[in-house]
Amino acid sequence: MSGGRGEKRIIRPFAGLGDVGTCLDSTFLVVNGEPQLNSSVILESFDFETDNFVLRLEIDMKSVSSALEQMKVAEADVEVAIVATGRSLKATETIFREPIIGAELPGEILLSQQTHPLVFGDLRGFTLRVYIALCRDLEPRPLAPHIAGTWLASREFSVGVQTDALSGFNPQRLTNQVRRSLNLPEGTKTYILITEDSLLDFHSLTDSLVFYIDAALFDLIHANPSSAVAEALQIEFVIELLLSVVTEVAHEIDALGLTGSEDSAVNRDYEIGSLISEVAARLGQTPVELFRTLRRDHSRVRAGLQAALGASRLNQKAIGLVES
Amino acid sequence: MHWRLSSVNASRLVEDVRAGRPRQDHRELSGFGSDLRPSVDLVCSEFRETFAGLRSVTVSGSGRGAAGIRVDDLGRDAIEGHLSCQVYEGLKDLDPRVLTDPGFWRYLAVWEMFEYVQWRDGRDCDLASFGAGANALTWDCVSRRMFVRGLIAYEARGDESWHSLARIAGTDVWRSHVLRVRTGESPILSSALLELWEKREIRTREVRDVAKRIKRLRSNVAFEIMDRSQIDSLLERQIEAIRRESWE
Repeated sequence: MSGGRGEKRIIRPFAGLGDVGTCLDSTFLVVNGEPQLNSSVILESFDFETDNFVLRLEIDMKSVSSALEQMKVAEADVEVAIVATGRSLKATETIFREPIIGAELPGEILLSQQTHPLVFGDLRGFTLRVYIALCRDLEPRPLAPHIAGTWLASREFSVGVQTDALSGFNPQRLTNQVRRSLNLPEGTKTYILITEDSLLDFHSLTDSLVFYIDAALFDLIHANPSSAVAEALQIEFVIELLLSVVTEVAHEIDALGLTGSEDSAVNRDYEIGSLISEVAARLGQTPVELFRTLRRDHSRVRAGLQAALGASRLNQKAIGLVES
Repeated sequence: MHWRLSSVNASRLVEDVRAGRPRQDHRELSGFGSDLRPSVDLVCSEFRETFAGLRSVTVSGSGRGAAGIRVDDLGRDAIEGHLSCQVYEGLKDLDPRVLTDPGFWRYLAVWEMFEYVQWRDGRDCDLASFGAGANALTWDCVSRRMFVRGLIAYEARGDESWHSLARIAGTDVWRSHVLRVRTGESPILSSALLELWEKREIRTREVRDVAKRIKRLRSNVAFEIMDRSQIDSLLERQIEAIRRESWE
């Protein structure tokens, strides 16, 4: 079992929130009796019969009360809600919902496969979101939350099943049939098909894109993947894929009007978010800086990736082998 | 236990059938609990019968079928909506380990629904329509998207009227604005959006702008915990804002 990285922190357009964003910091998942330090848990395999999941719910009520007072929001207008979604079928259930004040909150909530089979019995895993949120619409006031469902604090937990890095990149054979169906010209070497409208919304790379490699070339690489030429080609493919993902996400961020807040918009618990953070880190940048560079000087990001992944060295090795 | 197909074998089967080669049996038996194959067989044979019936009234003529059902994409989607109810009702009680196994949906699309998938998405449709050609299924996988369409409609209405919601023939709205995005995780929001579109209270060109605003709001709002009247008033405000912007 392994954990994920950090968590996203969204920039909130409200005043007076204070420390409420941290009020759920002591809430955590317990998997098979083991408390999890990270919010993202990757299991090596998922055993429907024996695995059990519990959410240990702890809310710092002081910071909630203080934020509500600052924002002049009545306690009666706020609730705790826990929503869970299975990864395969979009099955979503509100598994817990109570007013924040007055109700006795349980210390532990069992995430039951029997009660919510399509969520907690999903073999690909599930996502759990805990919200401290408005339960009704309020009179609109500047810089104050007023739409029902607006959350004052939230935490997201996820449980997934391990996939290897190669399947993460999901290379597929670009056969003539696939090429024709995608309306690609004969001689196409690679093609990245984005299968979802939003890359930011999806946990896994394999849910969001397919990386096609010309079938004959794919077979040659797979026949001898550790040869110098195959290694050089693979690194070129990785660079192409990374650049495409980052570029696509940049378009999405711009279309959403989130330019400049990439650090919070990119969710590190998701494979794509984690990938972007890793690309940024390899180039010694934050996600905001990475996207700024990409918009201004696309080629510089490519150069940074080539340097970080040793592309030139691998190419030289391949040419050396060919020449000898 | 149930039948499943791996991505590679599903691709092979599609290629073989399309090339007129004999269909090799690449099915794998996956072993969870009781034998579910007879009940799945029954659902699939009923599915094919219904499809044949619906198709017979749509195949003649290029624009409209004998019974007046349009055979353009909207007409096809109306039929998909109808069949989605059948797929959901027939399969909803299966073990979650079966329903969340991508191999099961590939098996259904390739082995049981091949003709329908080709009719629905085109004779040269992408392997993704069969759930093949990739490790994970996309929302183009016909069998899974039909089941989930039924599931979302059922969760939104939870009564007899879910059929009418599942049958709303809005290919683009269902696929682009419900299934492929997180809106599908909120059945009430999905339902409200689809109904507005069906009643023409929101124009087709406005759906994309509303969807964009929903996505932006999602960073601060949990739609899953909102009730129908809250969702309705939120959508109303978004539509008003879009129309105001377009006048400016």
